[in-house]
Amino acid sequence: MRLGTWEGSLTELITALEGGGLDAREVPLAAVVAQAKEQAQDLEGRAVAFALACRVVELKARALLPSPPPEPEPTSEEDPEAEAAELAARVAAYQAFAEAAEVLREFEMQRRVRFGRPSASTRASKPRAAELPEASLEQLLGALREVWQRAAPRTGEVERPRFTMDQALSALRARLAAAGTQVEFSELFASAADRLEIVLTFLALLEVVRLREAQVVQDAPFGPVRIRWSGARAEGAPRTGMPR
Amino acid sequence: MSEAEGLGPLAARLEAMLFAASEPLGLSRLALAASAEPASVRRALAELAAHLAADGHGVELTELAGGFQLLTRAEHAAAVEALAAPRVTPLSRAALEVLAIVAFQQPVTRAAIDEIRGVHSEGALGTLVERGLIGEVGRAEAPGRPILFGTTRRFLEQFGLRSLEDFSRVAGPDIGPRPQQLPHSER
Repeated sequence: MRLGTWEGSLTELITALEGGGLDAREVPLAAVVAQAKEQAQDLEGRAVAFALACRVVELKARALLPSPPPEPEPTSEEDPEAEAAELAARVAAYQAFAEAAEVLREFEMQRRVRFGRPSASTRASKPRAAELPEASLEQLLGALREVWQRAAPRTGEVERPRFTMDQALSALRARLAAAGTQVEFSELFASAADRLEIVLTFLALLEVVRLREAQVVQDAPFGPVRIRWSGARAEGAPRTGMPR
Repeated sequence: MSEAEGLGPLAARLEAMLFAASEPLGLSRLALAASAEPASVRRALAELAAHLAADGHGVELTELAGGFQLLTRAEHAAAVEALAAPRVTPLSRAALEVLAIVAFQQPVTRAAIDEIRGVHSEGALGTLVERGLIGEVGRAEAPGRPILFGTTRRFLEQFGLRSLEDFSRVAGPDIGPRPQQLPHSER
């Protein structure tokens, strides 16, 4: 391979370039590639020549392109110290917070063994069955289940509801008022024509209990559930918010 | 009550109010409700505290989160707990670290907390927010407008602290900037 005054093999060229004996910027790449192509006899030889030529191209490219800023060199010497100092500062800062966390832990422990009055929101999490002093909702639903079973499901026909929530509510109020003080739960549903009426009557019952117009009582376990009427609320009482 | 014989009428009134309250009551609030001057309320509170301490009562007057609350004494903890007092799981170490950082550096972003700890703090932050110990106090004027966190009143209450200054005094002065005043008084 002959390049101006220089002469040698492709491998020697690379050695000279890497060693600094030859300036890579002065190497005519076209000539190198052309001569390498010429000299290579077979496929394998060309493959080797190609790889070596690539190396020459790479070396020239490196020589031509601006080298990375020289700063890294000096700073990389300073860095260990600066980095170490920065790391130490960070560790110290973290350490301070870790110690503060320990102080917090102590405070937490000291505070945990002293109790104040629980807040209202904590107490409210336990619902009281104030409206049903003697009969639980469970018992009330049990009574409903009995009534439910008695009414046969109607199939095959779809009708417009004849009975609305408002009607159920006023019917129930009239019923309770007419009966005087107490009515047995099952009696309320004795005349119910179908399940819709039972459902609406039951919802109406819950509503009057909510409005404190009536109380649900059960004198003995498994005894009959009775509704005790205490009278409709005066005008101006909150309107029923019952959905239809 | 006979035990309160030595207690002045204002101190007794304050005792009743504090007994019924479920949170620390501030001086001005106590003064307003008791129809008394803040200065005399302060004197009466000192009288009440001394009375409770001297007569070996089961509760003590505690200054907490900028207010006053009656708390049971630590030595009766087991008995009070036996009455099914709500038991809260202690915070994890990570959560306490994050809490300490928020307490000192507030308002602070999650990224800044991660930077100090060198690990992600998302889970711990979530726990603290859920428990109402820290909260969002604003947004940083930075890309993405990250949430700024700060401690709440509840933090002071749950850690038996009078104020943030109280904490910084105990936890060591070499930590960064002094805590700033709470950006929001209520949680």
